[in-house]
Amino acid sequence: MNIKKAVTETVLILFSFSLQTTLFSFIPVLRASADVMLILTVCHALFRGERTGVMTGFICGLLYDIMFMDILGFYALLYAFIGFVCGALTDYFDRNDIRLPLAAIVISDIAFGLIRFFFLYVLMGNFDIAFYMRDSMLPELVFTIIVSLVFYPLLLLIEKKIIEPKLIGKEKPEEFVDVI
Amino acid sequence: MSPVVKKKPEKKSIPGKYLLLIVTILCLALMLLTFTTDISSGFLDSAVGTVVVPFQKGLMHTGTALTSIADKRREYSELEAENESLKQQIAELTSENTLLMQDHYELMSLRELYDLDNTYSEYEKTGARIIAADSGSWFSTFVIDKGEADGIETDMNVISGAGLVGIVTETGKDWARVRTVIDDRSNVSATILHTGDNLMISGGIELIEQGLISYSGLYDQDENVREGDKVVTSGISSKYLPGILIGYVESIDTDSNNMTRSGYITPVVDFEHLREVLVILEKKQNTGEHGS
Repeated sequence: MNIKKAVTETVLILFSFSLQTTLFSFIPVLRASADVMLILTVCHALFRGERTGVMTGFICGLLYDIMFMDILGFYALLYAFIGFVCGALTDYFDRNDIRLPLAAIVISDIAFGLIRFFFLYVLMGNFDIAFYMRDSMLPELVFTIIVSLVFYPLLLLIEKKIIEPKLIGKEKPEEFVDVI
Repeated sequence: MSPVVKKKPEKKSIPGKYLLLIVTILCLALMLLTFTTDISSGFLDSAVGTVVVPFQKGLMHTGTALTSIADKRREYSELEAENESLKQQIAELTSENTLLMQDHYELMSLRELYDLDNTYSEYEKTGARIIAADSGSWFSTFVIDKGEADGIETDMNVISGAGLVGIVTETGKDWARVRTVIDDRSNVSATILHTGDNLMISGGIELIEQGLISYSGLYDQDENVREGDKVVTSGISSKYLPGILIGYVESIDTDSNNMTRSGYITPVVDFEHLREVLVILEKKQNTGEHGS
């Protein structure tokens, strides 16, 4: 882990977190915010594999827990699992095709929403899933998809320009190995 | 491809599976620890706050700037008409104000005579700006830009001009988390102002959208309570200061036990457009010590 990478990583996580909880939360038309941290976790997992996925997810989730939850670790665990599962898909992933990351984000967001519904609402005695879907999950999903259409190319660009030039000197990325 | 080319492992450190296992155990331990004990997240809070809050403040600032540009585009004539009506309003208010000031001075002197304590206008307050909100639309918690350094502590009441907003649940060095009364987890004991009947107010997820909060346990056999009555925080509440306006009774239904009433209250605070709040720097537990 070189310094440039660490700094990029930190800034990306902080930026995603702040964007999700400030600007996006206050757009009046939308009742929900886009899950920018989910996009970041899924993309990083797809770019670099399971370990990065787990770590990015864990840090993102922990930040959210500390700022908004009474119990620490819930979101951290969820994001880490999403990072892990998406990391396992790295081998089937063509980074110039946005369909797989988009599908991964959509599925993750739905799974995330359902798990959150079960643990945070059903266990507290709210069973109104239709209301939850309409009022919270669906707007969040739509907003997240729109944001990821912008965010994915941006992340890919950062990945290509900042993270990878360093790698080529030391160890070749897998694509190059395969060609030889 | 020849099988000679093997997939390179991700550097030499631990594989993802084990990392996930470690993270899982860590998270479960954290959940258990924060759930069973009361230590919350003290130092983590302040560490994260120091790093994240400047980011959030910056973005929020940008957001506000953008909104103001959009606002400027509003129709000129609309503004002019508004200006006209506002001027008229100022004139009316000024005359009204002079009358009220007279009443006010009279009231002051009378109060002095009777040595009465003033209500919550006397509490020391500090203004704060909302810098982040919970992104899920159901839990209505938000973060403000003042914290321990400004004298804010857990359990302090938060109001916004007209009435009660919520309560501080967690503090960092220069930020604090506030849980609003419309939150699912909020329960406030309150009083109908003119009859003195007590009731329990609880927020609810289904009601946020309609801008209502529900109440229950109102014991009112003589049916004195009417729609539109003022509801204020009660003196028997352990955390909320007495006499802060919460809202107005919207509807009254008789419960199936025929003894108590329940229904909805319209809060006076507009939670959807909340940007600035006031934190009362006095806690319920302390008021007894230096109160009269």
